[in-house]
Amino acid sequence: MDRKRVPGPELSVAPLVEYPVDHKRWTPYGETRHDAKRQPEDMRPIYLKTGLINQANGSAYIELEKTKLACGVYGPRPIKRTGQGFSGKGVLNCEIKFATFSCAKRRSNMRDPQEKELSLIVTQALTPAVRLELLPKSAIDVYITVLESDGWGSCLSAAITCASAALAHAGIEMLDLVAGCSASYISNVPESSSSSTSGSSSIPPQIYMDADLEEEKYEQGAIVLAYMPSLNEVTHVLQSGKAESTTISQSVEHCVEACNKIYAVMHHALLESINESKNNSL
Amino acid sequence: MPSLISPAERDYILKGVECNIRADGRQRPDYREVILETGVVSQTSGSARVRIAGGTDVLVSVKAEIGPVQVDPETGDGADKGQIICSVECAPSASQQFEGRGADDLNNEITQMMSRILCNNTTSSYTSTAASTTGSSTTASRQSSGPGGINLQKLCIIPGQQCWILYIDALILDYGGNLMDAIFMGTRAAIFDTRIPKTEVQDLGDGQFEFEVLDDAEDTDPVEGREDMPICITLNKIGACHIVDASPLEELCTEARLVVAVNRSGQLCGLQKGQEGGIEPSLLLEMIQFGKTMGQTLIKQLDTKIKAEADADLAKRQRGEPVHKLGFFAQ
Amino acid sequence: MSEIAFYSPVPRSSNSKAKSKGNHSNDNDMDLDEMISSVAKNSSTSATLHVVTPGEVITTDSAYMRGHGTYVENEKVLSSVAGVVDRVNKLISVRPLHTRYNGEIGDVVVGRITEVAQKRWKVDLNSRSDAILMLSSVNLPGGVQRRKQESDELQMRNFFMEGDLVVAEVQSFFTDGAYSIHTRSLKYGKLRNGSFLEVAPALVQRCKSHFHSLACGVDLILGLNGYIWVSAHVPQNLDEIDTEQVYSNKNKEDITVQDREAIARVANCIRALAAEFIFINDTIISFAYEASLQHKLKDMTKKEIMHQIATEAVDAVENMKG
Repeated sequence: MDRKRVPGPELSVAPLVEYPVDHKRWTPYGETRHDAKRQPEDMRPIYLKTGLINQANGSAYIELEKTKLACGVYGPRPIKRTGQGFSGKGVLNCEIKFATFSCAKRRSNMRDPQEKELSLIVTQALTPAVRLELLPKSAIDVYITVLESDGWGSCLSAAITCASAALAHAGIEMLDLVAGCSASYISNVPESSSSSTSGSSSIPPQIYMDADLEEEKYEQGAIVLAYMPSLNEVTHVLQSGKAESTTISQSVEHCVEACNKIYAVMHHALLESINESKNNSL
Repeated sequence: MPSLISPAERDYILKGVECNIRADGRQRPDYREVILETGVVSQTSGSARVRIAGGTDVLVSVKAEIGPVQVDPETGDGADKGQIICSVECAPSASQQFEGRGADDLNNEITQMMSRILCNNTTSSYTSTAASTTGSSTTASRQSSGPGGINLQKLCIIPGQQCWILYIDALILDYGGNLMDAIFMGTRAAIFDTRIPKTEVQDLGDGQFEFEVLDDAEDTDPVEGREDMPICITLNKIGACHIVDASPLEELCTEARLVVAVNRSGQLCGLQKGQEGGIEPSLLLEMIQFGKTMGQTLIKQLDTKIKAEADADLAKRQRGEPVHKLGFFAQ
Repeated sequence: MSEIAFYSPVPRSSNSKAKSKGNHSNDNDMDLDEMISSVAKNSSTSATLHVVTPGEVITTDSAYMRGHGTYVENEKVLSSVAGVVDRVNKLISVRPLHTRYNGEIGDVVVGRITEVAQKRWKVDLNSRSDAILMLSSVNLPGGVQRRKQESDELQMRNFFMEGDLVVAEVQSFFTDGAYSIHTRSLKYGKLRNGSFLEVAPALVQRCKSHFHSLACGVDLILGLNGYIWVSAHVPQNLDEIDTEQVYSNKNKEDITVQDREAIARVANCIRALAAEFIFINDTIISFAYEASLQHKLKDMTKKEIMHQIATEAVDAVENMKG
């Protein structure tokens, strides 16, 4: 219980929205993806910009259409708690927080278990890239705020991409940039028709890169992959749902490919911010 | 639970893994022996205690209780489903480091992973805890396609009203490495041990229902879909190689950990990297393949053991002999 | 693909284990009478070993003096710990079976550095407080005997870092009972080329030497605090030790596969003996090693085989004695 705020009712429900009669819900059984533009292997266009938060040592903002996140990096700064004993390495601490209005249902102000877990995942995904051995007794804090969420997979991968760009913007020594990418497995055949034939498991599901919320509702499983393109190393992988191993191998390859593309965007965004500051100083 | 290791020890373990002789003489894919007993706690619907020779000691209990169904207010999804709620707790008696809030992060990490793998709905781990996404009516039709295997529809008593809630609680009593695998082995054994009382539903008309729980201890249902529950294999990447069933010191040397959840037909039901290192994509795919085959072997052998124990208990019961469990008075 | 072995638990006490072979139906829970009688039987059969529990009267003879682990009430000597009674002339003490390490000056111990502090290291010795290793109690590099300088104080972490394992000797006690240890001899210092294991401190007995080189090419340090170091054999010539190398973290390059197998085998033998609560010394380890040779190395983690090795080793020692 959060005693500092006036509590709302224990249970609240978002209002039902009546769609017009001719509105058809999107299903994966048709020809197109949810936004009708993309091919299964296409991602949404990425807008990434560094240096939006003045107070932070480094910051970045990322937008994949309706997925929007901001990230601030503070540090390296002296480690706060000293009771833990000496460690020759620095500590990377990432925290991800969903804004209360970021999801379909209002989220709490308090950190819930899911946010704690996602924070851990982002930390694990970024640590291999950061040269913490050069920063003894120091801590780097990375705060990620989700402003708008359009599917958890894209949200998590965007958080990793954004945080990595912000770390680079803060001038922290890194081995490589980390790009995050998500994919969903969605069956193209409706459950009813497939069960009448031979069972849905025999038909391999379609891999949709960077699925949005509407597409995620139909997913059988999803994978989020974080990858360092120059070092060719996967820094995190998280898969949920059930899938054959061939689907997994395929999606890992797809994600690695996509991460290379995201890397190009990150690279470009960082160059741009450097150029900008150069021009400003002149 | 050691937290410190010297550089020389680390180097010795790393080189040992490289030439396939680990510090305790095992080879890379070797498990330690597992000691398993089901039905150890009388107050539960099903329970199991799993110990891995080096010291890891996990007690998993399943409690079946009746509660209201959890319905998604927008779509009505979940009205005909029971629930599974997982929790993991590291007892402070197991290690000094679990004292106070020391185990919070570990508890949360394992609990979330368990929920993601076992609670059936594909997006449920994210909807049930925090509702970041809202389910849709179509999810209801994807009955048994979730990774957890357990048929949630069978746990429903009165659609839209009452259902069985299976609380899976794992208690870590001692720590000797490889917690994750032990917890999943214990969970599978405990679910196999679980018996759910039969219920009788009466239609009172007007959409009113009433049900009665039959108190015949002999006539109970097993959990449906339990054979399809996944098990997980933790692969620890040390150097360029990976090992299974790491000891505590080996866990300290681990650069990256990959948890592979797999069911008996070899489908992958979850994948998660842990620790703070990276894995090359080719090695990652190799590790997934390895975990898959290893997991299937593990499930087969675990099931044989569980069945043998259940059969022995049944035979005793039929002969009218009391079934004694060794419980904690054993090694 | 390797097999994964699943076992059922077995009853804990050894005499009920023997019974369980015959009839498996009703031996699982010993009732209290049986337990008491079996305890009584045990104490009567082994008259030399007097096991007591806290509060138990050891003697009513007021001529005895009380030692460690005892107290006096109403002119009776009572035990304050669960353990074995030691009687030296008129002095009675009780040695607890399971306890943390209680050291004496001159003990050889193996410890792990837990903290680097002002001019000193704190070392975990499995005792009730961390031991202290003063900067002035170590051999400084570049000459065996020289004065410590300020530069040494600044680079203490280059000598010993958190996590490092050292072998040392208990030098003295502080007033609060903490140990002060030293490594001012070339046989002491940082440990390399092997693996670490832990047994109950009571199992390691004080001997002439705690440094052993076994015939199988394995060096062994039996710390009296129950910490044991098993490592590859390094020929020791105390005159030609490179003093710069004393604090190196590098293992030697030529640890062969055979060396590793032998180290793992010895370590597993010690684990097997410790699991049966048998005193550990170089003789019994050598016998256990010989007994273990008939088993595959990777099978040595199995309980049954561990038990077999320990029993054979004990038999071999008894044969040798008489």
